[in-house]
Amino acid sequence: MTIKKPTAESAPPAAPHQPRPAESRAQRRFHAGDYGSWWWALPALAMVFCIHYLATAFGGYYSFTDWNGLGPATWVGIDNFVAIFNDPQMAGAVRNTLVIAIVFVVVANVIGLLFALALNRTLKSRYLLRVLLFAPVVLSSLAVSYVFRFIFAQEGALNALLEAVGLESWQRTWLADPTWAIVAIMTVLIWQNVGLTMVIYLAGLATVPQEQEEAAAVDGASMWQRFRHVVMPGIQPAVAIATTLTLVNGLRVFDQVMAMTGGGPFGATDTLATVVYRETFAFGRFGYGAALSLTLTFFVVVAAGFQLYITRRKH
Amino acid sequence: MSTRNSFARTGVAAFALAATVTLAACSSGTSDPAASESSAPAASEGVDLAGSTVTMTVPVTESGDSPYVLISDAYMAEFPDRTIELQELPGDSYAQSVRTQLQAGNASDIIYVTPGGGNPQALQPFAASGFLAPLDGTGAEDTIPDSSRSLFEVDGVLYGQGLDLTVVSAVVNAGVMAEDGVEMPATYDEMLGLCGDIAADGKSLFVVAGTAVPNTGLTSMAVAASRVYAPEPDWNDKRAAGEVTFAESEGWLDTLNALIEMNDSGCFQEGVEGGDFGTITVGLGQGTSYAAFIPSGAAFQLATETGGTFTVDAMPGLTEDTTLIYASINNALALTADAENAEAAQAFLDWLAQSENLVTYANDSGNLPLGPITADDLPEAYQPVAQYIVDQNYAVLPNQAWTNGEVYNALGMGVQGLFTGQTTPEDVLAAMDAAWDK
Repeated sequence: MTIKKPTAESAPPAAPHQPRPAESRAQRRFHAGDYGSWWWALPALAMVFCIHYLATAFGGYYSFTDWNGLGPATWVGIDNFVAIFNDPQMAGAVRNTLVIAIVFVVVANVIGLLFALALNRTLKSRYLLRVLLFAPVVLSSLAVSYVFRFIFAQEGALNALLEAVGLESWQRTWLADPTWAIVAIMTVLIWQNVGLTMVIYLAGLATVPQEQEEAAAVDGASMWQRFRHVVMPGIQPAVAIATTLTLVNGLRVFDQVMAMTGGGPFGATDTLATVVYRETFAFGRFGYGAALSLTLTFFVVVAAGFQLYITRRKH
Repeated sequence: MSTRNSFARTGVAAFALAATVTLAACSSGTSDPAASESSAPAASEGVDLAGSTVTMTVPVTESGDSPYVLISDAYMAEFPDRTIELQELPGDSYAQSVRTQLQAGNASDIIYVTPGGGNPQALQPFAASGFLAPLDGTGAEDTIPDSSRSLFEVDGVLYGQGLDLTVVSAVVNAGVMAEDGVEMPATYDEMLGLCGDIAADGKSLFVVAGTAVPNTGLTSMAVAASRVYAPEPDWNDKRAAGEVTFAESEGWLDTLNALIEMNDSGCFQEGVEGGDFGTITVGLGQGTSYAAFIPSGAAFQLATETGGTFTVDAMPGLTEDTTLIYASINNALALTADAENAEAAQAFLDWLAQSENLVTYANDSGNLPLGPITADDLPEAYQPVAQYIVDQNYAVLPNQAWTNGEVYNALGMGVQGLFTGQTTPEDVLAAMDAAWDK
C-alpha cells in the first residue's frame, strides 16, 4: 500500500482562525503536555541513577581502596592501578581479550554478512535457514559452552570424529592446549553469535532498494561492483551496529572462558573479565577487582567510541 | 550395573567430588585431632530452649546424605522441641553469599567456615571484621588441638569449632588394584618403574584433574610431603619468618621436577593437562586409574556411589622413612556475632562438640572423628594409613598456613603449566613467592 504524502496543492485550505472554547485553569494545565512529560519519568530515572550510575560510582570508589568485601575499606590511592599495570599476568589477559575481540568482530561479521546475503531474497528455504542460524543466539551461552566443553574433551566428539576419519595425529586435548584452547573459545563465541549479525545485516539489506541493484546490473556492474557500490553504502548503519555490538561482547567475554577453560591452561585463555572474577570472588580482593573492572570499562568505552567514529566517518 | 546407571552415578559422584575437593583444598584450618572425651560445660545451661529455632548456613552436599542434615536431624531427635533450619548454598558461591549476608546483617546464627585466613570462607577475616562471636570457654575449645589453635583465633580469641579430621593423601581403588594384581609401591623410585608397566597396560597409577587448581595443588603438596615437610616440618614457619623462600627451596624444586618426571613416566592418565573432576571420578570409578589425590571423605562417597572398594593410602616418599601424609581439620562452624538465637545456637554447638556426636558426624562425612583414635576405631578404608594416624605421624595441609589463596592458586596453575610446557619449576616457585607477599 502506498501512502500519498500531502502536498501544498493537495492540502485542504486552512480553517479560518476561531477562538478556542474557554477552558478551566486545571484543563489548561493538563493540556500543557510539555509540563508532565519529564517528571512522570522521575521514578524510573531515579532507579536508573541508583542502580546503574550510583552503583558504578561506588565501584569506582572501591577501586581506590583495599576493601576485602568485609568491614571498612582503606583508601590506597592509585596503588591498585599501579599493581594492575605491573602484573605480568595482566599483559596476557589484555592480549587475549584483544585477540578474542578482534577475531570475533571480523569473523562473526563476515560470516553473518555472507549468510545475510545468501538468505536475503532468492532462496526458497531462506526462512527456515534463518531460524536455524539464529537459534543458537537464544540459547544460554553457559549451556552452549558446557556442550562444547564435552565436544572438545579428550574423550569428546571431536577427537572421536578425527579418529573415525583416520586423523588420529590431529587429536589433542583441545581445551588444555595453549594454542588451541583460545581457538576453541573463539569458535564457540562465533558459532553462537553469527545468527545475531546475520539478522542485523538482513535488516540492513531490507533497506537497499532492489531497483538500484537491478539498474546497476543493467548498466553492466559486476556482482562485486554491485555489492561494493550499491549494497555496502546502504547497509552502513547495520555495519556500525553489528561491529559495535560484537566488539563490546568480545571485549567482555566471560561465560565461554569460565565454562570451557576457566582461563587455563596456565592463563592461556584468561581475559580481563575472568581475572576480575577470580581476583574479586575467589581471592576476595574487591578493591583490586573494582580497579580491574574500571580498567575493563575504560577499554570497552574507548574501543566502542573508536569503532563508532570509524563507521560514522565512512557513512 | 548398566552403563547408564554407571554414568549417572559417576556423574553425581563427580559433583560431590568437585565440591568436596574444592572446599577441602581451599580450606585453611588445620592439624591433628584433640577433642577430649567430654565436652566443656554448655554456655547455655539453665536457659529454656523449648521452641527455639537455630539457623545454620552450610555448603550443599551434591550427592549422598549431607552430614549437616544428618547431624541436625540427630539433634532434633534428641531435643524434639528445638529446631535447626539449614540453609544449603552451592559450594562455588558459598563464600560470596555468606560475605554478603554478613555485610547485610542477615546471616544465619551458625555458618560453615574453614580455619585460617587463606580463602574467602576462612574464619579469620570474618572474625577480624567483627562478624563472629567468641567461642572461648565453650565446647569448641575441646575440638581444637593446641597445634592448630592459632588458625581458629584472632588476637588470642577462639572463633571456630572443628568438625572432623580430613586425611589428604591418595584415595585408591583397592578393589581394581587387587584384581589387576597391583600393589601401591613403597618408594618413589619403585613407583616410577611401576608407572611404566601400568601405562603399558593402558591404565595409569594416578588420575589428576589438570585443569582444576584444587587438585593439581593437592597432588603437588602430596609429592612435597617427603621432600619438604618430612625433613623440615616447620618449613611454613620459616617461610613466614622470611628465612626461606619457595624459589630457594630445593625440596620444592625437587617436588615440581618430580611431577614432570612422573608425567613423563606415565604415572598420570593420558591428557592429564585437560583432566577435570569428572575425569577423576570416571577414572577411579571405572578402574582405568588406580588412585587420585583427593580428601579422604571422597573415598567414602566413591565407595557409596560406585559400590567399589576404596582405601586411603600414602603417596610413596623418597624413602619409606620420609613417607608422610597430611591430616587436618578442614571443616568448622562459627557463631555469628549478630545471631538472633545465640543461646540456642551455642547449645547446639556444645552438643555437637561432645565426642559421641563428633563420631556420628565423622561417620556421616566420611572423615575421621576429632580426638584420640585407635587402629580398631578406624574404618576399613583407613587401614593402609592407620599407623600414621594412630601415631599422629602426619603434617597439616601446608596451604592452610600460607598467607592467602593466591599462593595455592599459583602452585595449582603452575603445575598445569608444567604439564603443558608453558612454564618452568623455577618460574612457578617465583610466582608463589610473589603471591605470598600480596
